[in-house]
Amino acid sequence: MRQKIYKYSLFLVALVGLVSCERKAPPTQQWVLEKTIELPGVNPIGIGVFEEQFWLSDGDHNRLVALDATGLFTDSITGLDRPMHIDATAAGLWVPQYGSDTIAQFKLPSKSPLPLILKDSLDAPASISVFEQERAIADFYNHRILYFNGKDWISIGSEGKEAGQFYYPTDVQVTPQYIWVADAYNNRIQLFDKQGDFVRIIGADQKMNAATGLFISENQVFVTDFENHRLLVFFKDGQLAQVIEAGLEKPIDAIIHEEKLYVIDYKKQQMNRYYFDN
Amino acid sequence: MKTIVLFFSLLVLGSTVAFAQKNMDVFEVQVDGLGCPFCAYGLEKKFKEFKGIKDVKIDIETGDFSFQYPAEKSLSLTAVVQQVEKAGYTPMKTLIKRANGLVETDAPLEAVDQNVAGLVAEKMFVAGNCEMCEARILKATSRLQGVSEAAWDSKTKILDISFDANVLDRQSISKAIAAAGHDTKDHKASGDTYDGLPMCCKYERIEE
Repeated sequence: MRQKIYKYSLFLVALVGLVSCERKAPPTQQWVLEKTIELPGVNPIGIGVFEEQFWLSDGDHNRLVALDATGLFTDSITGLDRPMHIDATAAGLWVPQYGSDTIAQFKLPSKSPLPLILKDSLDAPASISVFEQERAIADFYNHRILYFNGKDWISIGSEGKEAGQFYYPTDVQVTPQYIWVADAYNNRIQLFDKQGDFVRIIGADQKMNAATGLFISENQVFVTDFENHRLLVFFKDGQLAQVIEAGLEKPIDAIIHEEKLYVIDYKKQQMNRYYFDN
Repeated sequence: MKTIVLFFSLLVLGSTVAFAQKNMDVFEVQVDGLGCPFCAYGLEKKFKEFKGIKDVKIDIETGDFSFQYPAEKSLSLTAVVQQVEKAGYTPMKTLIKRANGLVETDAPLEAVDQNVAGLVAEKMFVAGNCEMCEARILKATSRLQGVSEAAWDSKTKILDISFDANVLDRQSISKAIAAAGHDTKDHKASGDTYDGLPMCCKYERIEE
């Protein structure tokens, strides 16, 4: 009888141990803070990488600044009007100017802006994304995304809280399949297909407080939760993968470059670099 | 000859500029809570659209906001404060240099002496989101006669306030904060006032 009880107890202990192990199973892959790069005098808003240089928009000081991977300032473009979330392609830098309702392109090393001609008028463009021949602009005060599919411009969304509507969109990214939007003051991410049809909402359950910036990688979605001092990482199906808080006060944009995650902080004047720990 | 023409052209241009500046009132407003660039730049942009306004400048770091406005329109200090508030900023101090040389300014109420007999300290839940909210909430309390100290935490949403209970009570404080646009447990901001808040300040409203 004692032996039976002993065996039964052992079985129970093993079972409890197994269950608790399953519950405690930690996430195996995480982004880990590796380095903080100080950006004295720069309040970064947007980030792009052009020819191994990080280009940051410094809206407070109406300029772009460039730095290398060590954080050494190497170049700048001045005389802009509140530059916001920029994009960088092989053709150069694309800069939305919030204050002048224009998009400027810089074919570096030339610093003469080439205007992007639009038939429609913008009201505070907060972001531009360029993907091959496609363009998308977050048109902040008009609560919409203007999207160019290589042939025509279409307007996506309107002011509101429903699915497919926006409340001050601040960032946009075009990927091969979708258009992703940081629907900042609805505190969520929305994605659309290339016809402009609503597909899915991400992050609505995370109680974000101003989803100001986003970056889409091959497998993940990175969202800056500006007023909550954190960066949320989602899988593309919307499942939360990680919450990054270390070192962040007012994170505003992110990018992946050479397998490292870079997050810029508007208030702390910093760029944090994270590595992916397997 | 060319030199003479250039000289007179510059003279005329200089006179025109001086005349134009003489007919403009200069407004300098110290604003608080410019934590969100999307709001701050947007408000600056909206101000630029006012008819007749010139030289709109805002330094996000210092909160120095300035502009010029035609003197003939006699824009009053109260109207400026209201306009700035309507635009979402929280003006802490306003100075007007009139084109005729007069200077106008507003002075904040003097804080209550810390040693006053009826001083009480209370905590109050106040809904809000950000630094702009914080500035607005604290401005609303600073306008009340009898307030000694106030601090609001955007994470906990708790307002710590000390005041002279002989001249002020909790309900009056709550009402003043709600009038500025922020819900408390006792008083709700009106729909219009809430709708007028900048987008970053649109907090989750307190349910009945």
